[in-house]
Amino acid sequence: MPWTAAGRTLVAAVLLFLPAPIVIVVMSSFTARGYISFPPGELSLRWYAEFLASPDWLMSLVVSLVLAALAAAFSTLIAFLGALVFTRKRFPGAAGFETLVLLPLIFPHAALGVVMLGMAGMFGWTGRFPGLLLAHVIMTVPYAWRPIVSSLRKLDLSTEEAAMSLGARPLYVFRRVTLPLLRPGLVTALLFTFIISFDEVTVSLFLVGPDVTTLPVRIFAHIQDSGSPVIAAISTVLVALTVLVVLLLDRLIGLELFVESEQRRRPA
Amino acid sequence: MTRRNLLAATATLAATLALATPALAQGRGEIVMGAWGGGTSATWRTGVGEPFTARTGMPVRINEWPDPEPQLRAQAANPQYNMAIATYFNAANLHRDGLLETFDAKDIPALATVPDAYVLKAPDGKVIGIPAYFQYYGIAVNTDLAKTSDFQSWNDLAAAKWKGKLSVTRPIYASTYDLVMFAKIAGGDEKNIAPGLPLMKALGANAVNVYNSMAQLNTLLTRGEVTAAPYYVTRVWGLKEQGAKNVDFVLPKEGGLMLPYLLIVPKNAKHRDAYMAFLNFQLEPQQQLKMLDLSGYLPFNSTAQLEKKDVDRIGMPLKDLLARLYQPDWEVVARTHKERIDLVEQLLSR
Amino acid sequence: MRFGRLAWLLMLPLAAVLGLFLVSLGALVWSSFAGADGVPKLDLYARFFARRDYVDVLVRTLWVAGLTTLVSLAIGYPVAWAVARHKGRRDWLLVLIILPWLVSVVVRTYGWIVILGNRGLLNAFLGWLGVVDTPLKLMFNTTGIVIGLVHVFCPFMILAILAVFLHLERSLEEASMSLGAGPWQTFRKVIWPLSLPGVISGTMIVYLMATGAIVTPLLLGGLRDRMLGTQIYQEMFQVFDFPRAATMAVILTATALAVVLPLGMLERRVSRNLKGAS
Repeated sequence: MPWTAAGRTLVAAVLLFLPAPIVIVVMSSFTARGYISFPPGELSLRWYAEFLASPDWLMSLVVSLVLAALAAAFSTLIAFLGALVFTRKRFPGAAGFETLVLLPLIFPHAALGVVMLGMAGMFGWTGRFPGLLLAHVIMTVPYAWRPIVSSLRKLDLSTEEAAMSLGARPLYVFRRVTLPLLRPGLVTALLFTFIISFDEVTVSLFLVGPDVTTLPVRIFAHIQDSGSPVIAAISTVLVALTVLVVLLLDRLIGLELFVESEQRRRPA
Repeated sequence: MTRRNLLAATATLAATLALATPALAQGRGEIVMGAWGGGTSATWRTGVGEPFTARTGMPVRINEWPDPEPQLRAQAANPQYNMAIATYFNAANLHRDGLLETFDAKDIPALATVPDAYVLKAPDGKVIGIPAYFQYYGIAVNTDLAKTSDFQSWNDLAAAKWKGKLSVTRPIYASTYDLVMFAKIAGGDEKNIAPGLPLMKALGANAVNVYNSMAQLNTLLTRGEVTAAPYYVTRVWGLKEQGAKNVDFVLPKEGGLMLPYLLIVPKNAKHRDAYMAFLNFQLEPQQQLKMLDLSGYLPFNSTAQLEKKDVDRIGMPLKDLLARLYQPDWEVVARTHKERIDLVEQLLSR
Repeated sequence: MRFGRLAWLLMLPLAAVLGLFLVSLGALVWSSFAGADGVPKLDLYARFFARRDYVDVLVRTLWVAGLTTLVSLAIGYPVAWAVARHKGRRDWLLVLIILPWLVSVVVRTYGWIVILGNRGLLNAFLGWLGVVDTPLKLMFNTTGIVIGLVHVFCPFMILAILAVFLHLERSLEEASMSLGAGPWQTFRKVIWPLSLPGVISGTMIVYLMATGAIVTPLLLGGLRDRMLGTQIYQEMFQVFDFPRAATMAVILTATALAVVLPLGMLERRVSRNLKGAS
């Protein structure tokens, strides 16, 4: 690809653009003033203290993390099982079926709230965790479906057939050949679904209750009434946590998230 | 007048103690309350919830939401809350859809301390919710970019020099607060809002955006992206308390809008003894004044005596303030809500 | 093929979850056709198109979503390439790309007010450079919305294209160039066609999400910049007029499908061609 100085500048600009508002938020979190201000002026850690000392905030963070993790796991699993069949078996109306799977993504997000409310109500799960989980799973399935189907389609079936012709049993082939090749797709699916669930607010607004509320809903509620920088502190904590997690994974497992590094794929 | 109030206050205290004691003896029941986030929930937790638990032994849980109606409507079949703080038009809407408990005035003795004009009643005479506190609506001004004398009248918002410098609230509030106020000063009222439309349109023409949260307008005002906007007095007081030196509040010469808030109870809510006691308890002068201290919201209990610093902050005695505030019939406002939101939306988009 | 009966068992969770969703969705969509006596009517739809500002909102939504998608593609493609071809550890680049996701979009907007406002950092910088006399209007208009939306959705585009680039053997490039093709030709004839599945995938996701955007247009748009996602949200949460919200949702879905279905067909055709070629 023509790789000019202009191209390099563009990429650098984008890589600066992405964190820019986040940097502002992080810096604003250290203000001693009671309202979000930039430059922060007098510095203080009071908003971090307020966040970390508040059982309500911490609880909503835990709920969001657990909810997102479970939603990601379930929707990736459900999508994966379905995608396996979808890409390997021919059946009529496949295109239509795929559109149906993507429907929670195609149908406007703002209108999904009432749909999910109807569903949760069917089971008496309004204001309860299972209702939230069900809604989040359904909303995230399309995000898991696409990367997984994409990966499955690129998978060269001859690799699997070769392994089996060498005497390996189907389940072994699946575990040792297929799954590792699908890793990028699966990891992308897990990542997308986790993020979508973690950030989701407009559907969750209908489904939360006094016993269970998510972090985005709480943030939304907070800013309706007050502009305290505690939300900037919370955002900074989240960013710091993620960076920490990636650092740890890197050191401990040496996990390259998406990549089949080219060295591994080149035949010896 | 004073003796009657004194009697009412004593009756309230006695009744509350009477109501609370059986609960104390049995220790059952709890309050599960929904409130706006940030300052509001903190106010209720510290100002009323903790003292209530201390007196009655009943726990009070306050959950934050951006708005009362979504969860209350979602949980109508099986309410998980038994208390919520809401605006009067929230209450009128919910009541019209049959989602609220109503009360006999005599069951809430503390109501006697609240002037009748502020009690929201259903057509059958029952009380829809119990008044909690109020604040008022005027104009917030960034004093680096303008002077408070620039906005002594609501009509000053239409001046051409403010083009692109003002902000306006969402149609859901603009149609119930701003439009009603503009109508009133032009010779109309909440029933006849047509006289208010020209000023509403002019405000829209001068506005650079529609603000969607207190936090957003706070940021825009303090940063000077917005010079002025119709806003809530408690928000400006809050900003000043938190150190903002360039924001001030003006109560225009035509007066301001009185914004009352009340406690509502979802229909079929649990723990009746608990919520009846709570409804009374929050109207006691001590709790009312504590909430004023915490958040700036003014008491409905007419026997609650304001301290000098509060009177100074308002700039006049409470009686004079009330004379300058307009209180619309919130039932009319709620009934016409939908069509007026549409009206304001279309008005602002041209 | 290999599955036999097992296939239906594997499909079951997906089918169950979808089925539940479709039933509830059907109820909502049905309410948009509600008429007196239970006879379906198009009243609500007629009333939607009769309102001049609603039609404006619809047109604006499609236009802004399209613009957002194009910009995301234009800047996402080179970034995906740069990340794919980066020698050394890519994880930190990826963290940088997904960093915006960790911060609630509502909170991000404070950052934008500080950066894009008339008295914000960007205008201060440009003014200091002497490039502009009066502040650029970058907020509370379509520009602000597009900047905000691109910021939210660009990572999706980057990751979708990156996934394809990572599968691309570097040797293909080398082979093409060793056969005498210049860099531009290599790009046009080899790299771009092979990256097409990722491009289409990213385009679909970004376009769909942009049409339904709620918070960004609300916070970064002006009075006359309303988008349909926000409008639906307001019907849902402030007026609780579900049938009217359903009407708008169905209309938006129809316009989204009009774009997504052809893209889906294109994607399938492209994938098949590529597989056939290899």
